[in-house]
Amino acid sequence: MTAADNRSEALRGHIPGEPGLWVLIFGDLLVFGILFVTYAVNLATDVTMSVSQAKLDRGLGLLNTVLLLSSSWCIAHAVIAARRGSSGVRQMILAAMALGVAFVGVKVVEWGGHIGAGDTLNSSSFFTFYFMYTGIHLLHVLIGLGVLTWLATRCDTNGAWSGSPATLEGSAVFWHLVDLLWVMIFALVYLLRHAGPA
Amino acid sequence: MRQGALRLGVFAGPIWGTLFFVALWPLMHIFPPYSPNLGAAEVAAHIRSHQTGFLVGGILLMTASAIVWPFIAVILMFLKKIERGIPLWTTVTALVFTYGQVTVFLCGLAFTMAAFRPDASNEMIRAWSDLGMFLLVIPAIPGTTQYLATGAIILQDDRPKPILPRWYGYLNIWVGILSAPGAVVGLFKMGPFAWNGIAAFWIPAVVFGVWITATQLILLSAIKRNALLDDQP
Repeated sequence: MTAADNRSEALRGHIPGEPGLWVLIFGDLLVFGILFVTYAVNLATDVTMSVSQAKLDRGLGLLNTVLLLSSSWCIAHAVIAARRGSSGVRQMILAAMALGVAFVGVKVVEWGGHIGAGDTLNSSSFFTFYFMYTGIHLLHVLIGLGVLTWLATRCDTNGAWSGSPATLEGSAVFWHLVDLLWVMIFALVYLLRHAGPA
Repeated sequence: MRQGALRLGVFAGPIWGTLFFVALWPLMHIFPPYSPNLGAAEVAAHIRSHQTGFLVGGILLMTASAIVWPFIAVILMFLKKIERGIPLWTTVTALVFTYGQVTVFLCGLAFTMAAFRPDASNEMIRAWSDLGMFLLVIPAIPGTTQYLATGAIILQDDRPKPILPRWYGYLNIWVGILSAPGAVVGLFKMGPFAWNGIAAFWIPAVVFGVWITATQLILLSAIKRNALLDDQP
């Protein structure tokens, strides 16, 4: 990138990835916003929700939060490495993938525990929300892991980024979205308690 | 290039949508859908009192599934143009579109069955109506495959000026992800994931409305640009 390019970009502002990507990002955020409000309204009006909610393991939720945040950190550093033209891009992408796969592993263990204890998709309103919201989020994680795998194949033999900067940046933005949604789910589903009369 | 014929093809989309909506809303009165919690007697009474509406609506749904093809064909031509060489994902999209429309036909048929013999038992009528409701919402499952495949094709386009806009590729991925909750309606009779719930019905329905509107607009603009004859490397 030349100095002139940099200046023209600075004037119009830099859009991470490409403009079209933000249709997906904001569209998803909008709909998750509706889902989160639906959940919060149910939590506030249905006292049975907090009884089931108490069965969640906040430790596993926190572990998953740390895993996804670290994974996001890795992909952010992959973008930084690519901007420098350094050879560590593939390493950072693989690290992000490993942390993402660990997230899926923790999720499977967590789900398995609840299902083993008899709390399934339609056993109570809380567990419907829990399994569906974490399930829709897991679909995002799996799509994201697919994208990361594809990114890893686009590095050269030294592990430097060989594709366009926008592709890597856009994929990183999607991975951050997955992370952001999880932080919201963790806060709402695991941490927020019903504030009704105790 | 026969732009006129292509444009005419695109209009099969809104005609499909209109037939679909007329069938569900003024004829069958199932938009918004009734609650899955409703008793057999109430569902049967609803269908008996709108018997002709259900029978004519059934015909409209089946007709819609038969006349939508020019619209789908225009989409597929653009996808094939983008994919070049071996059109793997275009073929996947075409096959999933096809079985998606079979479910629309069967949906019309199930509601026809529900209304055909008003002297049948309440349970029998409700069972056919349940099948109709399922065929209306559950095909979000093949829909997800179709939207994700379409999105992947459009985002693969490496021409300097893409045949279809890239935001439309992302839009398809968005629609694909958000249609998926329609898959679970068999598990619930109330709440956001029941067939009349916000997550399984309203979000997929609105998102589908956005998709079909955007699809017409981008197809018409691509036809205007003569994008099928585009010769970029």
